[in-house]
Amino acid sequence: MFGVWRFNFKLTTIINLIYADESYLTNGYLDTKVDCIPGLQNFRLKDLPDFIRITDTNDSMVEFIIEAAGRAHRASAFIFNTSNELEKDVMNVLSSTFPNICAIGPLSSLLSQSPQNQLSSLSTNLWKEDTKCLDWLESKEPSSVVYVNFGSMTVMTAEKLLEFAWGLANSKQHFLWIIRPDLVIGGSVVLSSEFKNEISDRSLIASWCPQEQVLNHPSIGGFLTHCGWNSTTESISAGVPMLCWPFFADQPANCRYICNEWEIGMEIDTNVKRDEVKNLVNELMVGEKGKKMRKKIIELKMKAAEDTRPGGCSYMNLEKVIKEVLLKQNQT
Amino acid sequence: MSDKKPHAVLIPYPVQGHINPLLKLAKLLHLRGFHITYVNTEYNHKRLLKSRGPNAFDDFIDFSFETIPDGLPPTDGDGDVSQDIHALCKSIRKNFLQPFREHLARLRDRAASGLVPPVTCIVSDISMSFTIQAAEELSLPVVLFSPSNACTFLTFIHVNTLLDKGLIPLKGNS
Repeated sequence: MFGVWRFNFKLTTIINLIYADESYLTNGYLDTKVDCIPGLQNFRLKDLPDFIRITDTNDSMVEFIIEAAGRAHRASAFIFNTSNELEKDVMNVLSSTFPNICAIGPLSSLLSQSPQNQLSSLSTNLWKEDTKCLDWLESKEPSSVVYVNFGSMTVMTAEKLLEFAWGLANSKQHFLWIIRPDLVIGGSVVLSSEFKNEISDRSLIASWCPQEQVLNHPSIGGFLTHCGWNSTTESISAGVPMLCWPFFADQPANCRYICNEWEIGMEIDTNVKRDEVKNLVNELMVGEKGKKMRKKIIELKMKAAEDTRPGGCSYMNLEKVIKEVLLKQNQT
Repeated sequence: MSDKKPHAVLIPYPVQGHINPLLKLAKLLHLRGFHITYVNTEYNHKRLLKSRGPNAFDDFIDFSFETIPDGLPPTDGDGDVSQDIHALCKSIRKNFLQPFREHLARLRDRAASGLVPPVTCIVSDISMSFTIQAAEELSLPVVLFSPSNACTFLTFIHVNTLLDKGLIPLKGNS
């Protein structure tokens, strides 16, 4: 299975997130405390969704956001794939501004406790899922495999990919790594035969996978993630602690929650180095911190299951929105 | 087909991380008796057919996938890549309302012929705010769904606060 891994890349996307003057990234400005948004405790600018990292007030993304936020009050209701447990302070503040707002998540927990039907297996993954991952996981010991996936949008340089690769290899842990065809910026990457030999008996690399099935597999013991909100909530629903390497959008905020508020994960520096990856992977999988985080995330998992079963807070919120808003036309 | 069956039109922001959680919500509504129309962009639907198979989205009872164009020029190569977020956001503001409106009109015609129940509500990704306009024109309730954390929405409604306080634009050295 370890042929020559050669990936063709298209220089798409995201690259225009790179700004002309990037010194704010390193001059400490992003460490500025944000104390003007009620509901956010101890957040720094760097913890906010990165759409606010603008250097120009005419930024098209900010215009998009201001337009959407300005229309928001005209909506009949708002629902969020979160829970009052996960984001209590923020939900309290939002509810006082918008009476018709509520948390109905995590949807992964809600749906997994719902009846099965013809649609249960329906998936909208844009890349073909490689289901051999699941067979491979069957052959592994419980909680012994690190699952590595940077989501659908992250891109990184070939150098950073190699730091992750060697960090994972040197940790000596088993790992399942999803390398999307368009993950690496600007060219093809060939992983050396030295690397392939090093990892051949304990790793599998695939291009995409059915993530929730993977996360819920008993062999998975940790998740190295870009901490997108879906990955975050799916990892909570599965009770798998995380290593975080946030890329963009809401991911810095998710990372803040994971590492500081919920204490179910650890952050990897943006400028990733192999030794750091090795050490953190080992701490996550076999260290004391990893044990503590596993215990905490199991507690969150149980609470998420409770919130999303009949009678639970998120469950009841969804029922309420359905009855009072979505079915309004049917009752007249 | 019962006229009383509720019919929800769902539309995600057209990227992977938004499509999947809205599909979960669609399944939950379907389990509660809704007829579902799930609207993807043509670009993404094409990718789905490629990844899941040409008939993977046919023949569900009371659940259909429909498409609208995204207004972007065709991509190079096999088109199997994540699209540029900035280009998508610009196109959403400019190009999505009219095809969405037309799509709702087609659904109304189909409902008149008894092929589907009349549309009774819209569930839209919170970033697809043009749907509010379309819903108002037809006097339909519209629920905005955020697949992200609530902290992001809180930040969005405080962008002006951050600007007023001078915290943004960010300060570089130049």
